[in-house]
Amino acid sequence: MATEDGAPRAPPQPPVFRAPKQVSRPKEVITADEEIGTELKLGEFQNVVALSVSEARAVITAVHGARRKKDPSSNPLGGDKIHNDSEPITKFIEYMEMFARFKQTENLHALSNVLDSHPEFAPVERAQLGSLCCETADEAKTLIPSIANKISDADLQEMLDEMQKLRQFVD
Amino acid sequence: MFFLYELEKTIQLHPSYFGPLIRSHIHRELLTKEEGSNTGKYTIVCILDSFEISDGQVVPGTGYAEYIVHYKAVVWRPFRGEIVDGVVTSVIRAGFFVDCGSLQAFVGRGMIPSEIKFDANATPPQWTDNAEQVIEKGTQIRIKIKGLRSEMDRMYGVATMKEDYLGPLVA
Repeated sequence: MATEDGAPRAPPQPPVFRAPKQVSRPKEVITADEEIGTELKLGEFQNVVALSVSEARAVITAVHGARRKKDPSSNPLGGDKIHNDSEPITKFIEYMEMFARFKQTENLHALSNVLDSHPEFAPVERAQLGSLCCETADEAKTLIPSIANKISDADLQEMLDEMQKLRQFVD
Repeated sequence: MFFLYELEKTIQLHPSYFGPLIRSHIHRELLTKEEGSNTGKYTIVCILDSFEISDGQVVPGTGYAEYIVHYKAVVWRPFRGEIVDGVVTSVIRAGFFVDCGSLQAFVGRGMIPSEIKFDANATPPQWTDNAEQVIEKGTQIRIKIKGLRSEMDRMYGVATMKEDYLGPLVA
């Protein structure tokens, strides 16, 4: 087909179809495959700061301490309450008292220095190492399989020994 | 595992709260409604006291004002494959239940090493290998999460101790 002057007509552009503007709620991402194994699949928590039990305890104690110090009249919860007494919170406070292995602030700082000297660990692995307090390199690598290829047994053992020393200070 | 997570929440305030104390009302609303709540994936354990409130917007048709609050919180989220410590809460013939903060995990008979047997005649009933491993109510134990399920305000899971370095914690 040709126009009057003989030049071939440009082929008609195919219409561009765009999806209509989304009006429904975005579908929830299916997260069934999130797990901590030889690989870390954390979904939305991939790059979030992870805390070991001891660190979490320190943070929460600090927040509750600050609330306790506040003037009762300016306390949003009223009176001298430091949390809303719901069951999960009391359970977690109990849980952390029981399983936090480093309770002194100095030891906690020392611990995070030890862990920081190995930047190859992901935040989650760092938190797990701090919470679980393994004794041997083999134990740590069995419980946290994702660190197996990141560090040699000797280096890991050295680090764990340092962590153990910090623990004995407390007991 | 604990995370330091940034969250957002829309809070609606009744017009009777509009006034100089509006910030404190929003704070109270945040602390009473959000702390200790479970989103199905994680539990909000503690909200840090610094938070940002957007400008309020009156909702057309009602007198309510809407505020978007950005805050940081310590949240606890269990993952499949994660190693957690917990406390045994009840021991039955089919296995035992472990509490890890807001997660209730069940360790079934198939998930217990075969040398550890159920002893109904002991008081309280226990799972034991007749040596140093005794699992009874109150025992601190290390388990690995195998599966998770969440219901309104509560999380349930199945866990195993049939792997190396899992089981009752010594000392």
